[in-house]
Amino acid sequence: MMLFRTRFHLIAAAFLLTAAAVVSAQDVPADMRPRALTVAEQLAIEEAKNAPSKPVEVRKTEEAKPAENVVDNRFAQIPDQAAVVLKLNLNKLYSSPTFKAVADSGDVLAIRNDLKQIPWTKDGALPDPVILYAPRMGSSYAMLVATDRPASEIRDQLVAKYGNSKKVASERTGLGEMITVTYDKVDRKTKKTTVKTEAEILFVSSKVAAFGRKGCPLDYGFFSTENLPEEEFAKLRDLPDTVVAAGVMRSFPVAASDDPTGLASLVTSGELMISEYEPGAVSLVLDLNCKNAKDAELAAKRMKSFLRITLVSLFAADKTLFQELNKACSTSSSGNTAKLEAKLTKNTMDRVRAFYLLEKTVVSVATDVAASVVKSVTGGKK
Amino acid sequence: MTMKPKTKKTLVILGSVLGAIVLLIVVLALLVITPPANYVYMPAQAEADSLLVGEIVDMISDSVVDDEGNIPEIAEIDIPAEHVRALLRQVAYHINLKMKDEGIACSLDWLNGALAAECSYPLPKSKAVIARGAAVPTLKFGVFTLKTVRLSAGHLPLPSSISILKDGITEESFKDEEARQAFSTIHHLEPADNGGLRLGVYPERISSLIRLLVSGD
Repeated sequence: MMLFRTRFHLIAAAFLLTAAAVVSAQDVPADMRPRALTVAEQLAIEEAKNAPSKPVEVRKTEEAKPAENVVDNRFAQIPDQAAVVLKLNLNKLYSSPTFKAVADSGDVLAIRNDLKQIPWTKDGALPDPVILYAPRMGSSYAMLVATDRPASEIRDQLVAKYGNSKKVASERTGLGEMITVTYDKVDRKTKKTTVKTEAEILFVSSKVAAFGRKGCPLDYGFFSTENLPEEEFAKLRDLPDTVVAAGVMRSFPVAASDDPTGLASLVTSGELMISEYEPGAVSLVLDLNCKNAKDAELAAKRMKSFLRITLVSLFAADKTLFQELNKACSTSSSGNTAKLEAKLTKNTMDRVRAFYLLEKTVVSVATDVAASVVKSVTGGKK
Repeated sequence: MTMKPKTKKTLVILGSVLGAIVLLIVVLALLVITPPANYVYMPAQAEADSLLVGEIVDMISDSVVDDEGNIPEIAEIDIPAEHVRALLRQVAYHINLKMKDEGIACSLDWLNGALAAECSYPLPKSKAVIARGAAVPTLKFGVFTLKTVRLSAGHLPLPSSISILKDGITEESFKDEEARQAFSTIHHLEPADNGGLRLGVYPERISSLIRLLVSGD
């Protein structure tokens, strides 16, 4: 599966997490539940239950203390070519009923399934991936994963797992230890054999691996730099457990002809934060930093337009719910920053979910619209 | 040997007719065949157009919710001519990107309430036929019509009854699923009194139109 072929899919996935509010599943039928929870996930649920009910102060995340289980510098290797970076809290996604539908759908499910193929940690838990996208390299992306196992252990595990069906090789490269899993595919008509890559794992440090899957091979250009912007991404590493997803968009040039609504030209960088500020209640904050106050004002206006159109698209059939959501979401500008904020209470989310159960297509529509909006924010170039 | 006068006369007539046909072909070729056109989308123009298309999104947003926060059944939007032109230039840019390998290039504009199009079709030896046309688009009750008001191949005027423009646009548009969905968003479409374009859209289906607007594909 081709994950995140375009950079806007990345952030679209994050937007989808908010649409996840849609499916806050307090009363999800048993047959819709995912597999039994792991110990780590149960712990995460307990943490969520005990979390303070006050909203998360998004702007202060840089000052937030790292969680105890955070491995030092685990995402320090984020290369500066990455224009969009998204970190997913997989444990939160899979343990919270609020995000159940998102966790079980599309790209997020594919990420989980891909990650499950590799024994990243000694206790078998899934790591939180950091997904990078570099628009200047076409559709390239990479996924960074924290691991507590050395390359040799992972290689041995994979050899034991695949036996003769797939070939596991490792080599030292200038960028670090590289493990590749390949298999032979025979064309039935021509009888020709081609070697297909199942997975590539590049150890960019002793605790961080870059992960590429079939169809999405690693772009080594990502890792050819020594200039690592540790400060910019420290906030991603140290996010509190209530954060479900967070993203950073960097300044990057977009050709005017690839910026259909002119929004990308206004924005120099941006940050996205989606949190479950209390069980069942979700907040989203998107900050877009602009060149000047005038641009920020225009960017806020454009976000307001997109937000309104998105809400109309989704909830036109339930006008009172539309109005409730319209009030819960707001856009503003302050100085050089345009801001989109959405705070959805548990009650609102329950209503949204009820609407979703009635209108099954809402999530896919949300994805489409969010993708369109994000494409406009980040420019149209794929 | 001398030729009979009757045979000579026949040959002269035949020669004249052939000569006239050859001359006609040459004249037509000179009228129709020209060097290929290259419709370059200048970066500064593209930037200015992006802001105008952004304003169209604002107009749509303002129309789909009224002052009391209610959603109308049909949202009416009057898009000024300048904004329609900006949108068409972006559409043309993306068409040209797709057709680059085939050497086909086009230019779209909005003039006096009509869609004006120029398309350059390549011929061998760096020659081309440039088709030019103008037509008034309308969409009512789900039926899209394009009334041709002007048509020419190179410098050769053609009868406007030829439906090449409509066929080209509808055929290309309806091949694309996104474009088809976007059309289903529109309740009606017609030239506006101010020289722009009047759109009536179904608010609950608006996402398809926005997707097409911002994707530029």
